Amino acid sequence: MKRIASMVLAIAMLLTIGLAAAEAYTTDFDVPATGKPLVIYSWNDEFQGMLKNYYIPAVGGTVEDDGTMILPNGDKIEFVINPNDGGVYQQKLDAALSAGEKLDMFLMEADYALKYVNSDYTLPLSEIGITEDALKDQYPYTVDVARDENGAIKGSSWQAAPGLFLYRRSLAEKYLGVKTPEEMQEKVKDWDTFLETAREVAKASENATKLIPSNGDVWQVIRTKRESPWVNDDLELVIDDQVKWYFDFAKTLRDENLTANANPWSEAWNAGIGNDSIMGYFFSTWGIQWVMTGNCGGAAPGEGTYGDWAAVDGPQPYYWGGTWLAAASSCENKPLVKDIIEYFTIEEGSMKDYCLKSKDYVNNTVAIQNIIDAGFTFDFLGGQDHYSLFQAVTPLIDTSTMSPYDQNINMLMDTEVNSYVNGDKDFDTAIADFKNAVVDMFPEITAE
Amino acid sequence: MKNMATGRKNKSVSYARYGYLFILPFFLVYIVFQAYPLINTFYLAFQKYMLTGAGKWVGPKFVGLDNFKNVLTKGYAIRALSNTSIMWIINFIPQIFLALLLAKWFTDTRMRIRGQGLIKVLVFMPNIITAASISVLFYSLMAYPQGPINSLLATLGVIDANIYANPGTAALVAVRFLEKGWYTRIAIAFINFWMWYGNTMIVLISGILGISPTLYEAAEIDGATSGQSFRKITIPLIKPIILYTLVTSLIGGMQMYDVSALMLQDGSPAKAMIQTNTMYIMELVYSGTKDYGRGAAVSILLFIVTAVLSLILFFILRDRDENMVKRRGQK
Amino acid sequence: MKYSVRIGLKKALVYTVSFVLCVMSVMPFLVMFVNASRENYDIQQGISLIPGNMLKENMQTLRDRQNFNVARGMWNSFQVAGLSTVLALYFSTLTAYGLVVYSFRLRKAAFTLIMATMMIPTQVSIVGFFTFMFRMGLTNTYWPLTIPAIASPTVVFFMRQYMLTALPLEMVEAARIDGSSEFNTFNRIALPLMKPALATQAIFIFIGSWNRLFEPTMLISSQDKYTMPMLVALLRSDRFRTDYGTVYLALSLTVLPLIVVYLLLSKHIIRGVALGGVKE
Repeated sequence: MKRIASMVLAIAMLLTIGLAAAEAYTTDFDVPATGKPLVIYSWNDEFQGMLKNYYIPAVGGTVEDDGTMILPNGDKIEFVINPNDGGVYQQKLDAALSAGEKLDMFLMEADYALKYVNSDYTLPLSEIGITEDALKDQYPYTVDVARDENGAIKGSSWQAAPGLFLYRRSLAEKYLGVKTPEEMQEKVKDWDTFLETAREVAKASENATKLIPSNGDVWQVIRTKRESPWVNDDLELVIDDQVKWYFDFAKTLRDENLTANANPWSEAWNAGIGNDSIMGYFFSTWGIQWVMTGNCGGAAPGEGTYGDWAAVDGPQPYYWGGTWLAAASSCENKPLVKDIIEYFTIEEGSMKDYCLKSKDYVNNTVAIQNIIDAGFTFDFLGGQDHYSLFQAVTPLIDTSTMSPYDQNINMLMDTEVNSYVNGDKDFDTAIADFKNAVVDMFPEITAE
Repeated sequence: MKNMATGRKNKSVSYARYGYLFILPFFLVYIVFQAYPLINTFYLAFQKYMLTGAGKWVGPKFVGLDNFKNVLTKGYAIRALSNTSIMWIINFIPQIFLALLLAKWFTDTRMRIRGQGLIKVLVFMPNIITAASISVLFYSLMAYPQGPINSLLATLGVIDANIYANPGTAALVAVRFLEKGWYTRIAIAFINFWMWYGNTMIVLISGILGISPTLYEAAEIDGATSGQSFRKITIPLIKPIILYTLVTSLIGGMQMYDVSALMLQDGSPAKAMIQTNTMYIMELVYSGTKDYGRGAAVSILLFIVTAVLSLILFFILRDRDENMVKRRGQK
Repeated sequence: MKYSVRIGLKKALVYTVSFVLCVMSVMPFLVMFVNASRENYDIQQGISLIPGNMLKENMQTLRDRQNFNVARGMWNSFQVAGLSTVLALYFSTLTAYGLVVYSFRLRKAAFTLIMATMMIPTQVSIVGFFTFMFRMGLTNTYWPLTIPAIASPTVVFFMRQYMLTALPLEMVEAARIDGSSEFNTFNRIALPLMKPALATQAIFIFIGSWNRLFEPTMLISSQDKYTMPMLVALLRSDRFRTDYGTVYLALSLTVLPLIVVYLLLSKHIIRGVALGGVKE
C-alpha cells in the first residue's frame, strides 16, 4: 500500500520486440571523465535497466558481459540496489548519506520523497546546472512535489502517475451487461454508484467475482481527495472527513462482503489480475504496463487476461506514486547526473523514444501530445488509447496533501481500519488508538 | 595424587597470566568492533536525540531518566515485553521437553534406534533455512480466504465450503488467521519451536556425548534402567549445557525479531499482539521519527529484564557451574 | 519377554514421533524445491507438491538476470561464513579454556561481561557502527563481517559449559607434568577433546553466518561482493514484479551448501571422543 512507482524494462523489451528493428535513438555526450564511477542508489533494477537499454546506447557507451556500464569517456556507472521491503532501501540510504559513503545520485518514491527533498542530503537542481525553466514541459505537479520549503527544486521525475480504474471487459459484460468503456464509466462515476455496482457484481456472480480486490485499494484513491495533509504546519495530526468516510465505506464493503479480501500486493491481489476473482483495479500509469502485464498470465492478446482490460476515469481523479531522481549532496560528478536527468526527464526526443518502447507514461507534455496525435493504442487494453485519459486526469492532480509522514501514517491507519472492519474495535476506539500510534511514532506531532 | 595437588597449587599462581592471555583476543576484538554499539546504546538512553519525520535533527541533549519514564508510562514497550514473553514461553517449554526427549532417545545405547542418523539430520533441517523463507510458506498456508488451512477447514465442513460466502449467510466463514492476534502468536511460537527444537536437540546430544561412557556402563551393571540413568547421570552431568540452552534461548527469545516481523502483514490488526521488543526498537529507530533516545531506553530495559532472568537461572542451576569452576580452578 | 515387549512398544512410539517430525521438517524444503520448478503465475495460484516443468526456464532466467551471479555469490558467502566459523571456533574455545582452566582475579568479571554483551540489543547503534566502520575504511570489505567473530559470546558460553562437563582437568595437569607448554596443551589436548562441541558450534556458526542479511546489506555496496542471501533479496526487491519461480530456485541453491556442511560436520557429533582421556 505504501509506495510506488515505476516501471519497466523486462516487459518493455518484451512488448517491443517488434520495435527492435526501429532506428536507435542517439544523442551527444560531452561529459568530461572523472576517473571515478557514478554511484546510484535504487530499490530495484528498473532504473539500472533504463540506463543500460536506453541511455548507454544513446550516448555511445558500452555494456560489458557482466553488466558493467561504461560511458564513452571511460567512467563507469555502478548501482547499489536494496529492497524496499522492510525499509531496507531507506535504512541503507540514510546510513550511507550520513556516513558520507560514496553516493552521487538516488531515487525517491512519492511516499517519502518529501523527507529527502526537505533534507540537506539532496542538491537543488540549480546546483547541477538545471534551471526551473528547463522543467517547463514536465507536468507541474511533479515539479511541485520536489520543491523544498525554500522553493528550491531537489528532484526530477521521468514519469507522471495519474490514475484510472481498470476493468475486465468480459466480466463486465457477463455480470453488468456493459459493452463499452463509456457504459462502464457510468457504473463507477461516483462512489455511491461504485458501491451499487460492487453489490451488483457480487450478486450476479454469486460471490465468484468482486468489483475490487480490497478496501485498501479504495484508500489509494480517496486519500488524494483529502483537504489537509496528515500533519498541518503546527505539527498537529489532522483527521480529515475523508478518513471518516473511508472507515465507513470500508466497513460497508466488509459487512456486505463486496471485495475479494485481497490486500494490496498480497499474492491473491497479484493473482487476481490473471484470474476471474477480481473485476477491477485502481492503477496509475506504471501499474498498467508493469504490474498488470506482468501478472495477467500472458504476453499477447488472447493469452491469460491480456487484451481483456479497459480503462475508465473511475469515481474521481487521483494519482498514485511516481519516482524522482535526486542528486546526492555528496555528488562528485554533477555534469553526468545533469546529463542523465536531462535524458530521462527533460529532453523531448529521448523521452518520446523511451515512452514508445516502454509504454511508460513519461513526464513530458509535449512528447505525450505528439504520441497521442500520431495515434496511440495499447493492445493490453484491447486497443484503447489510455494516454488520452491520463492526459485529461494529470492537470487535476493536487499534491498539496502530500507530506513526509504519509508512508508511515497510512500504514498505522491501515491497522486501525482493519481492526474496525473486522469488528474488533468501535470507530472511536480505533481513532483513539490511531492517534496514540501516530504520536508514538512521531513524538513531535500532537493529536488533539 | 596428593603430592601432585600441592605441586600444582604453587604453580597455579604463575598460570594466572595465561588466563589473561587466552581471553585477550576476545576482548581486543570486542573493544575494536563491538564495544562501540554497546556503549553508544547506554549513552543514547540518557539523551534526547532524534531525526524527525520531516528530516530535522533534535539533540543530542542530556535528559536524565526521561526516556525511561517515557517508555514505561507511554507507548508500547510494556505491551511488547508481554507479547515477547508469551510467545517465548509457548515456544520454549514444548521445545526443551521435545529436545530432551529426542536427545534421550538418540543417545540411549540400549534402544538402538535404526535410522537415527537420518532422523537427526532431518529434524535439524528447519534450522538451516532462513526465517524469511519459512515465514513465506506459513504466510501462504494461513492466507485468507483461499489458503490451504482455510481450504482444509472448508473440506472438513468446519467452515462454509463457499469461502466467499457472505458473513451473514454462512454459519462460519474462513478465518483471517494473520489478522487475529492469538492465531498469529501461536503460528509465530510454532515456527520458532519448529525451527529451533532440532538445534536444541543437537546441543543436548553433544553435551550428553561428552559424558564418559564408563558411568553408564557402571550403572547398567548395577541394574539401572535407561530412565534411571538419564535422570541420575545424564541430567545432573549436563546441567551446564542445560543452563546454556536455557540462557541462550532466553536471550534469543527476548530479542525475538525475524519470524514475528515477517509474519506481520502491513496493516494487520495482529500487530498489537505480536509486536516484540526488538520490533518495537526497530520501529522507534527506523520508522517515522528516528528516536534514538527512546529506542536505546527500551534496549536497556530489555537488557535489565534478560539479565535478571538469567541470574535467576544461574542461581537455580549454580551447583555444577560456578562452584565447579571454583573447585576446579583451586584444585 | 515382557521387557522386550515394552522396548518394542517404546520403539514404535519413537519411530512414530520421529516420522511425524521428519515429515514436518521436510515439507518446507519440498515446497521450496517444487516451487523452484514452477512458473510464477502457478505459484501465485497456490501451494503444490507436484513439481512443475519450468526448472530449466527458471535456471535460464536466473542466469540472465543482470545482477545475479550464483558462483560468485556462493564463493563470497563461503569466504565470509568459512572465515567466521574458523575464527569463532578457535578463539571462543581459547577464551573458554582461559576462563575454565585458569584461576585469575578478573575471571568472574570477564565472564559476566561476556554474558552481559549477549543480552543488550544493539539495533539502536547499528547506524553508528556503520559510520564507524566507514571512518576506518572498512565498508565494502568482509573484515567487519568476519573479524568480530573472534569475539562470539554465545560460542564462548557454550564452550565453557561444555568444558565443565567434558574437559578433565587431570589431563591438563598430566600434560604439564609431561612438559607441554600451555598453548600446546590447548592445541594438542583440549581442542581434540572438544570435537563434538566444535562440530556442533561449527554447524551453528556457519549457518548463522551464511544466512546473515542485515549486516552485509548495510556494509557491502559493490554487487560483486554480494553474498547469496543478498542476491536473493535483490531478486525480491521488486514487489511489483517478483518472479517467485526464480526466487525459490535461488533459495534452494542457497540452502544446498548448508545441507552439505551439516552432513559433513554432524558425523563428528559422536560418543566417545573423551573416552581415551578419562580412562587413565
